[in-house]
Amino acid sequence: MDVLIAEDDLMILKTLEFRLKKDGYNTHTVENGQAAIEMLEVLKPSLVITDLMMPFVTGMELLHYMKEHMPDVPVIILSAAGQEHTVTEAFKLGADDFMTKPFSPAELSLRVKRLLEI
Amino acid sequence: MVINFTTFNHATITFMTNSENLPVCNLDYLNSLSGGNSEFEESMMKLYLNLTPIELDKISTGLDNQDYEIIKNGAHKLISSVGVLGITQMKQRLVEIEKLALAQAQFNQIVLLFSEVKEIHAKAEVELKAFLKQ
Repeated sequence: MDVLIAEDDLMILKTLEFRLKKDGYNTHTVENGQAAIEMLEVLKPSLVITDLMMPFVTGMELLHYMKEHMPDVPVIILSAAGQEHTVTEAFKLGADDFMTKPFSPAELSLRVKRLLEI
Repeated sequence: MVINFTTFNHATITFMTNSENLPVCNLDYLNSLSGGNSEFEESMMKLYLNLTPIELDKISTGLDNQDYEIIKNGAHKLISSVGVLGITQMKQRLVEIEKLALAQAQFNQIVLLFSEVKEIHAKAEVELKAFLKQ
């Protein structure tokens, strides 16, 4: 299964990629929302994980794009502490789940598995 | 040792200091994530050593120009990264810098906190380089 990860913090991006590869997923990584949208034109992932604060196209804009063009693909939002308001907005826009950074590895595995089993 | 710090909204928060020369990095999180993969752990340490000075420079530029947006974004970006390497003292100060920059308040306090961030980073750098040498 293909998982697209959009995150501009390279350390977080690498940790997500490492864990998900270990769990057996094919990972595709991008460092901003614009690159994510470009990749979504050629790839239909099973799941998207996106940061909220990214350059060019934000996580919220990416989520909006996803819900308009690929509403059946689940989206997990990555947030930092203090972004509770934005997370609530993301849920209103249709986000399927969220995780706070740095994430718990076991929690990430469980949340991804749960969304892909639905 | 602990020090108390009064925030812009008059709350008092407590920071741990490192006068006892305790390590500033706590690699428990990285260990749990890597599952013992030392190659991955090393790559993360190297990434931190390469990327953090660039982000710290951005915050410095923000301080030079009193540009709260740059300061806030720089602090925000580093918070997650330092969390991966368990540099809690640095994370606490970055969180506070982000809050103050968002409120565009207490510029001198931001300067003070940032000088502490740089000191902690310098210690983390020494620790991580020593770890990589082993």
